[in-house]
Amino acid sequence: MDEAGLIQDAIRGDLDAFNRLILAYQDIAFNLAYRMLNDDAAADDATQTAFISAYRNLGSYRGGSFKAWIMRMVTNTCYDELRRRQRRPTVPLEPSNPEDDEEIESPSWLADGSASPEERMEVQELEAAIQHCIQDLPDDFKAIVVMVDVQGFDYAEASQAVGKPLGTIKSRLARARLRLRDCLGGFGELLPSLFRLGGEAE
Amino acid sequence: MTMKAKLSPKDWILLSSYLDDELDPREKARVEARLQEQPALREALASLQRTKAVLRRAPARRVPHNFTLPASMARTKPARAFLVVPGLLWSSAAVAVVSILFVVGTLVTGQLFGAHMAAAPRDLTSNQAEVSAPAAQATQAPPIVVWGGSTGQGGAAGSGGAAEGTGIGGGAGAGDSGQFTIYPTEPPSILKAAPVGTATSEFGLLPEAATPTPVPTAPALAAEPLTGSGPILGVAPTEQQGEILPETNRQSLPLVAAADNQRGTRVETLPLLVWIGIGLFIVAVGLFIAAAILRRKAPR
Repeated sequence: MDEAGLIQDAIRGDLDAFNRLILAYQDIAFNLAYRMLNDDAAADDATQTAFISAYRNLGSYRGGSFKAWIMRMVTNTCYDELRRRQRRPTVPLEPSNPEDDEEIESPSWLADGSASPEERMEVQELEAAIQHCIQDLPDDFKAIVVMVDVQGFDYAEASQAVGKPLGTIKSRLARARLRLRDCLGGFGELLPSLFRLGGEAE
Repeated sequence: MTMKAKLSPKDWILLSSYLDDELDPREKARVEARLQEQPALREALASLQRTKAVLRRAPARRVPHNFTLPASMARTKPARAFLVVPGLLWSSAAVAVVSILFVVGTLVTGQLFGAHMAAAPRDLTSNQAEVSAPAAQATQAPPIVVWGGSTGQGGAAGSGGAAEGTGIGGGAGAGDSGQFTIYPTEPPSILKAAPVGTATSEFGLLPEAATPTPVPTAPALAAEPLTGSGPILGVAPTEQQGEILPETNRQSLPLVAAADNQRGTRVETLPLLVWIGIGLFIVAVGLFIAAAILRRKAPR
């Protein structure tokens, strides 16, 4: 069944139809939440909360991109979490090995059996650099740059997802890209040679 | 000189949008023309392209588990908050408007009623008299004295009347030529106790039943023969002037009957309308609070 049919069935209360929609969008929803919150457990909670909220409020969906509508649920949930963190700041824990209780450099989810050790190292370094730079952005910029540059949304979808006009999307995206360019350029040799940005930042 | 110094924030927005092919054709052509001429612009665009390429290579994380909802969630029907919240808000506004109309309308009519009362002191006097009078008399309507005629008509049993002269009503003075016809339906006790022509009102207010309708007391007016018809009671024929109309004849005077009815209904309904208005306003506030709570819980 096509997406429109699944949405209509879900609005009528068909939970199976809605679960099929969840399966289609849970990857981008979880990744958006992770990029915004920089924490696996928090991203897990935010994604689940967003899907529950989406199901309970399917009546407020009025057409347009369903993906953008779902992402709006996710971004709103993440903004709530970020505001909560500002009210009650905590020190984030680094990923740790539960056996010896020592910190590890990268969580196991990054392990890719098909990649060589060098390639894995490159991916880990790239991931660490990107995540570090995204976290330096203002909260209002994070969702936009992740959706457009990381997940490939167009401006209209991003606008619908964050509830801001197109002009705001353009402006915030340009400023976010400038900051990211400068931040990533600071990593220099740590980035894969193809993506080295040193020099352009000047 | 650095590239940043050469480009304005607007230039960066144009380049960023150009990179994503989000410019309209005219803007796109303008940017492309500038790119041909300005190497700094080309370099800036290239740096944005590389940044975007790096971000695009960010590894996607695998979801830790499926986020499908359990069957127990199916019992929860998707809520139509977009209908409930605006419905509550509009209902709140409508009820608030109605409550304001109630209160304002009540105040306006109350003021009109107050003005009416001020213009008719007899009613006030009669109300006070009704309070102090015995219960049997409280329900008794005052007699009506038909006015008009020549000089010397005195009030039959009014209060504060002159001992003699031309007072028309308002006094129990002895009229030289006053001729009254008192309908014997229920003679007021004060009339039974005091003969006609004796001042009976020197101790203040009399019961309403013994109070005649007040009439103008200006001697100049009273001394003149009255002709024509007035707006209130009119001038009765000569043979009826000075008569005190009993209860059974009051309804034949439409203005008196209307005034009685109006007074009775307003005195009884005035507090009720105010309470209804206050009650509706409380309901409006309750609806608004409910809408605000639901809106806060609903996703934005």
